[in-house]
Amino acid sequence: MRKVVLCILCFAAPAVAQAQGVRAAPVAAFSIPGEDPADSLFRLGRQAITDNDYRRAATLLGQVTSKYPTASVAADAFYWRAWALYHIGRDQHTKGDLDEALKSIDKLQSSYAKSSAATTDAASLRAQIRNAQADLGDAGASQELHREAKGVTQGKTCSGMDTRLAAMDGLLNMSADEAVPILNDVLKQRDPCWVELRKKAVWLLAQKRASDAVSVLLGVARSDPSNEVRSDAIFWLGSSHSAAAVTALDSVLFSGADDEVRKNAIFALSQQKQDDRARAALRRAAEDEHLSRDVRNDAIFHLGQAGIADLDYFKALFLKTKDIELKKNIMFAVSQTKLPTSKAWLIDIARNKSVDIDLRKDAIFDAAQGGAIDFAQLSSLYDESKGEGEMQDQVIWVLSQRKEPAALDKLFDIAKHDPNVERKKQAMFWLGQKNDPRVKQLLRDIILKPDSL
Amino acid sequence: MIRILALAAAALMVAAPPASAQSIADRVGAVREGTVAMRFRPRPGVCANEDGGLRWIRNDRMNGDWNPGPCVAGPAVVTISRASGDAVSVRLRIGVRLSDATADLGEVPSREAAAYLTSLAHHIGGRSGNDALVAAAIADDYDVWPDFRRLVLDADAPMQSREQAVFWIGQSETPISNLIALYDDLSSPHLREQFAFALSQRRGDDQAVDKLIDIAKHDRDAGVRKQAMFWLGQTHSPKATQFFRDVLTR
Repeated sequence: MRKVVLCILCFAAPAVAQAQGVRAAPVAAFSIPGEDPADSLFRLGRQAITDNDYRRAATLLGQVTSKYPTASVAADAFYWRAWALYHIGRDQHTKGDLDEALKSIDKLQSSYAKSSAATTDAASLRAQIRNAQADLGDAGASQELHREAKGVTQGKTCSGMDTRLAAMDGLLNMSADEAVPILNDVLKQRDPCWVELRKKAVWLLAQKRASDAVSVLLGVARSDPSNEVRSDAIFWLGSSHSAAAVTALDSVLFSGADDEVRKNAIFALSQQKQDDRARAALRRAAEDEHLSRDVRNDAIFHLGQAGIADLDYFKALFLKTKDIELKKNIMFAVSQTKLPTSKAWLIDIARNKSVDIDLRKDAIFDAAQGGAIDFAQLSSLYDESKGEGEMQDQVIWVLSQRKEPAALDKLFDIAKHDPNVERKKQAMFWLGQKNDPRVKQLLRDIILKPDSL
Repeated sequence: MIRILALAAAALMVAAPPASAQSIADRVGAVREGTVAMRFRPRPGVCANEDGGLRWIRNDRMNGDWNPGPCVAGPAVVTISRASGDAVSVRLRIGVRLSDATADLGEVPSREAAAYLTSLAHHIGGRSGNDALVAAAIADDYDVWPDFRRLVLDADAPMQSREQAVFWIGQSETPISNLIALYDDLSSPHLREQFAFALSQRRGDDQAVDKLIDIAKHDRDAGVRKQAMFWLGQTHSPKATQFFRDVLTR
């Protein structure tokens, strides 16, 4: 038997509910004194609503509003009468009841405007009544709703959604067997108003860990009309760590129509890197020329970030790839491994004069990111790049960003001995940013004995 | 002279009746400054763990601090701190011996102690009000319903005490019909939210589920409706499942 644990002394139940997003609305409520006939009628009317006897409720509450319009419960009676009539009209498709419901709520809002009934839920109920009237072909209600739809936020036109979202909180506490069939039904609702509900349903489905959750999420990932809902489904597919999810994500990645969804699939696959098929899917995505640059970039990034691909793979991909941006991303992915072999390869690219100059400059930058760097290599690269000002300036800049003495030594060497004045200027500029006594001496020498340089 | 002394003695007896004939309120009230202690018998299943944390185990339910260590039964010991003739603090412990109280009332009848402690909760909130109500709720042979209901309906009492009282009525053996009837008298949304929670703890009770559904559908306050739905999900009742299906798919 499941044990229920409640803290006697701290009594945390409301806090638990708050934590679950259930909050109290600071709304004044009605009070029901004892003997007054209006009160008695009102009580009976409310009881009838509780018993789902809406017709009787409307009659009883109607007596309160007509016979005792100044009673303390009159405003509430108008509200609940409208409520009861609305339910009858909506369920039985009776226009007259809806018209009466509207009159009741309008009377509440005009004659009891300051009552809590008028200031809290009346507007919401009125909108529901107008919706129901529009459903029955009431042109006036349709036009009113249309006007409101133009001028107000989407939330106001999607009536009843707050209640449904609250009901979703209730599903959180239910077992998978109880909740999943309902969640499946929610996910079948394609109305734009239901996007938030479907997103919540996707999340709940993932939490319930039901046996068929992966197939349902895959269905959502493939066919839900909302990009947000599809993306959420893919995200949760990724966290499911199931073999079926990898197949599903692979299929979304290569047969989907939306780049954002594909990128989510790539992220989700990178979370399943222990699976050979997930790793293979990411490699294929990185190589697939039919995919957009954005999607391939993401695949390359995650291949490097998750340590899925090795240097040999990236070298081969670099040679195969024509797109400069993708090549830059490959170099960046390689630099993230921070291995000496990776840095050496990047320096090799920087040295290779047949490679695009922008790539070579990026290669120097990437090689210098994080960890140790071979200053001898960098120094010889500088010397080899004579005549390529951009390359030499890039090396100078990289040197200026390092704190090792070897970097400073090379900058001094360039400032003092480089035959090219522009390179000297560059080196001196960056040396000027350093707080080193040798820099002060150098600058003094330049100013006082320029011929010595 | 003997006659005068006898009269004086008789007068003293009238002015200061024996302790057993005085109410707990009178005996506590006699102490203007200091601490009053009393002990009474708790309900079966009440015990305290090594840290003093209270546990109440009954049937398949357990209230209190969950601690896998040993739990020792003993009398409920309540200390009431008094200042300028008013009760300013109430503390409850199980099974401890007190030696530093200004006045020790010794063992008192549990029902009388509970009624007195509930009366304190009309005026004292916070942890003291909480301890007073917990002490009353665990007092042996005490029907919480009449006194706790009165406290719930006392608009001048601290809201926290009133909410606690709703909770403990829900936890008590009082018939579900009493609990359900209470709802109509709850003017404050805070109390109705607490009511929804208390109702949800009546596991397996069909009428409790019906009432929760009613609240979820019809309560005026959106916050209360939300609470009712939240707790309804925990009932694992087919009626609740159908309710959610209706709300979410219609």
